[in-house]
Amino acid sequence: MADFAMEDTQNSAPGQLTAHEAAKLSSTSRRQDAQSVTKRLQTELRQLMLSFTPGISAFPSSPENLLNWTATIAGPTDTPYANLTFKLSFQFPPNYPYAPPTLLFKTPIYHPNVDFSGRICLDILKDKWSAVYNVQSVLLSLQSLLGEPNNASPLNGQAAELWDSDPAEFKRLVLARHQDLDEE
Amino acid sequence: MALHDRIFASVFPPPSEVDVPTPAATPVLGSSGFGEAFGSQHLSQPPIENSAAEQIKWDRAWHIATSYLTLPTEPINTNRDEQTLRMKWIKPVSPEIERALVYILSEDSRGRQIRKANNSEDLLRWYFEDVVLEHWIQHALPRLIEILRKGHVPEPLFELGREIFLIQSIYLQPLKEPISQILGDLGKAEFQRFEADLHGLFTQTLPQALVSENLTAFLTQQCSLIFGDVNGAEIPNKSSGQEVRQRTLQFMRNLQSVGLSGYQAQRIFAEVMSETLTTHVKVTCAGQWSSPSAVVDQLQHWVENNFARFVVEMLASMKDQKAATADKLTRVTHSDVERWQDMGVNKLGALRTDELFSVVVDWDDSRGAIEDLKRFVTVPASRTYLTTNFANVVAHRLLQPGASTTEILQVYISIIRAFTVLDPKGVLLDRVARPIRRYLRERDDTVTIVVGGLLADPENDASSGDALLELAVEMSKNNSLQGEEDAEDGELDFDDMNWMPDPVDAGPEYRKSKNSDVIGSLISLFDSKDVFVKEFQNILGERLLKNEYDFDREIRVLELLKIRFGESSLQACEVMLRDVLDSRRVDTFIHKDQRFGLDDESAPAIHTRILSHLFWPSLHSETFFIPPEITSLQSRYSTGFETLKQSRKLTWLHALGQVTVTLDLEDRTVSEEVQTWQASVIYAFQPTDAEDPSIPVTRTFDELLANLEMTEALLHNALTFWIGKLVLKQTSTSPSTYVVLETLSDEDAAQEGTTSAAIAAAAETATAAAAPAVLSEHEVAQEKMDVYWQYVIGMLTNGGPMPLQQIVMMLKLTVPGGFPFGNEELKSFLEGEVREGKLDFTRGTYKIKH
Repeated sequence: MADFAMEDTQNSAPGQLTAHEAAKLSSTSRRQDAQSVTKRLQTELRQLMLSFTPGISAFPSSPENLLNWTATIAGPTDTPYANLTFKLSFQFPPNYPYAPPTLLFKTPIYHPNVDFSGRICLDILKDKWSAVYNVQSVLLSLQSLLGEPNNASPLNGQAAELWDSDPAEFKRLVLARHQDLDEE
Repeated sequence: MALHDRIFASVFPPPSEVDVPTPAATPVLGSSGFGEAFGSQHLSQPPIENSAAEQIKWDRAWHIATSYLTLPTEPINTNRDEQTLRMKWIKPVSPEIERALVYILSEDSRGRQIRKANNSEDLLRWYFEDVVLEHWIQHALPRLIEILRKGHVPEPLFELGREIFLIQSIYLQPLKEPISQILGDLGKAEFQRFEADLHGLFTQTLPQALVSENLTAFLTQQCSLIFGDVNGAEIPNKSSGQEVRQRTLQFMRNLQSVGLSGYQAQRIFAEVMSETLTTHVKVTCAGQWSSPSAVVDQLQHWVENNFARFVVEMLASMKDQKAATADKLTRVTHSDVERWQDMGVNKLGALRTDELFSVVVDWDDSRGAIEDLKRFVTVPASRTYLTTNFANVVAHRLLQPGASTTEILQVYISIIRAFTVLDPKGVLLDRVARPIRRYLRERDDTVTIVVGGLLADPENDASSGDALLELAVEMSKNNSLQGEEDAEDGELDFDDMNWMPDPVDAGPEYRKSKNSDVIGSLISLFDSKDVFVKEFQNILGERLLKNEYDFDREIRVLELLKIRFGESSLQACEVMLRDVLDSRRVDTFIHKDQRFGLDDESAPAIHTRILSHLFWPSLHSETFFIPPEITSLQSRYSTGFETLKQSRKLTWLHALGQVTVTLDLEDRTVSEEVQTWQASVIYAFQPTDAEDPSIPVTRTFDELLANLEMTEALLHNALTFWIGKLVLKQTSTSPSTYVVLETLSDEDAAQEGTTSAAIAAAAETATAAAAPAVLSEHEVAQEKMDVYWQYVIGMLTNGGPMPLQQIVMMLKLTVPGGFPFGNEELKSFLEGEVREGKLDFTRGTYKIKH
């Protein structure tokens, strides 16, 4: 596929530090960073828990590392994804929220802006990222992306075409591709 | 034995045995001088004319003189009276002896002149070395050592003193009577020399350690007898004290005369006197804490008149009379007396320091002790001693799990008061208080007790020993406010002409104001005022809801706290207080507006407290069935309120409040002030229209539970309360059935307060009545369980099924401020959710049900 190279650049977080920049970070400032990230994530988690938004939820994956989260999105009704749930992984960079988290669909999904490895093309996760976004807003954006894909810059060209041309076939492919992850 | 001695003597004749007639031409055995071979004088003599005759004459005289000077080879038995001793030990001086002595000793005699050149044949030296030394070593010393060994009783020592004195006088006798006369002017010097030699002999040969030990014990005992400081506090009558004193002085004189009162003895005496002073202070001053204290003055008086006088006498008797030059060491000057008085005060200080903890606990019946200490803590060393010592005692006796927080606080208050008297500058208090304050901060219940104490009513709560009434009393003095304000800006007031620098030994963080008054000290215990304010809010809320409209005390405490913490942090409390005060006005207005009590005389009266929900601590909000009469009243009241205060709404908190219930039973009327739920429960026993009013009403527990919509605990509590009041009676246990006691039989009446059930019920009644209005911290946490439930949902939705342990761990990590529950609590909560069908529990893991 022609867009492999592009994918890689698109999915690498723009906020990631070059080796030179990383060397400049002393160990103390890194520890302070780690503390502030932890604090920020705890606050976000608390907001998320208190504001209970239907259809989305997220939680740290393991007690050891708050930088890895798992999130769940319910497919919006009136879209091909209705009644399906999708799991995602969040990987927060150490300088979060100044750099966006890396998101991956864990559940296989058929969608114009998601490739077969689960990588997502969404502007706010790349160059449009801002520190005011948080887990909740990212998840809400993703939920709306399910219903309104950006067919102008597809990762899955076939899906982008089918979205407009053949909704029935699209829905069939969505259901064929979808399989629930948990219940291990 | 006798045979053995004889054989021995035939070979080695005893040296001082001079009874054996000696050939006139031969000198007595052992009479040769030091360094000379026996009989060598014959060879060393220069050949002088007529020397043979002169030699014979000398030898004869020598023989006579040595016979005279020889002492019997037996111990001096000092038990005999002096006359017998004289007879036995002091030989008469016959003219012949005198002539012989004169010939040998006199400078003019021919024989003496011959021998003068080589200084041999010194009779006195012979007497000392061969007679006195022998006798002392052989016969006197062992006896004396034996006496010393007996030890620790004064009588043998008196004996020893007398004996050694007698021995000396016997040894000295020959020199005193004939010899010094013969020698004339020289005699006196010879006598003194001889005496000095004797003293040297005594001091050197008597075992030092034994002598010191005995002397110490002896003097200590004598002193305690003389000053009456025996620990049994038996004070000897004056005459016997005087007698002991005279004997002791006599003894010291004896010792002095035999040369045993030298430097060593003086040192021992000094030690003993120091010890005596300590004992005296201990015996006379310990526990004498009354104020005003005269202890110090009494002590100084005693030192001056008793102690110093005795020392002077003793020193005089120990002084060498012959040494005419006044010895510096033995003369007592006025400054010495003053030094002793200072020593006495120091010893008193040490004693008081040891007692200080008890003194503080007994405050303020022990003010006198602090006054004494004030005279002591005048130099940095003694101040450090006092604080270090006291801090140790406090750490050991007070700051330990065995002491309740109330006790610690009480002692701390006493410490503050006592130390403020002791050292108004507060430096000592500052040093002592630090560990206590640090410890108090670690105790969870300190805040509660302090706030409770501040708000306690000294008159009514006097019976409950738990509360810190001290604080309430202190509050009512009301003078602490002013002092605090002064101290606050004291450092910055440049016009203050009375400004004084901090004391030299003040610590780096020393601040006068910090510990100046009791309440201030306790409130400032907590670095963050939030803890304090929160606790105050809780207790205030409690009291505002319980009490009638009399909040003078609360208002005053609030004002005090406002000064310390600033208006803003206590705003909530202010609002709470205002709510309650406003409630009365609003209540009156609504009553007028809605014409309560006017339309229907029989309707119950209702009064409210209107609280601004946001400013109050979490309150109990359990709901349960309220009698319809009340509900209608409530809705009318709400309408009244909403017309008065537009856009405000009333939410009724049923669980709070009091109800005056009057029950008309067949044979009696019961009137009780009860909690709302208790009233609801008894209302449920009101006969319905369908029931026959003549039969006592019966209800089962389950019926009540369903009808009243109450929690089981609450219902149970209310039922127990009414059983305790002898209004209800449990007739059956399965199912639990209760019946109204319309008539009180004798049997039932007799039961009151006698059966264990009634007692238990009464106890529970008490706890039921005391149920607090404000939610405790634990209950608040329980309410937060809802939030934690969201966490659990999020966790299980995203992380899949998890075992309990993992859930707890995740919660501990992710909940800000920490997860306050343990495994068991979470488990029971999750089991509840499983029962409600929200969770599945299979194979040890919890899973969300979709």
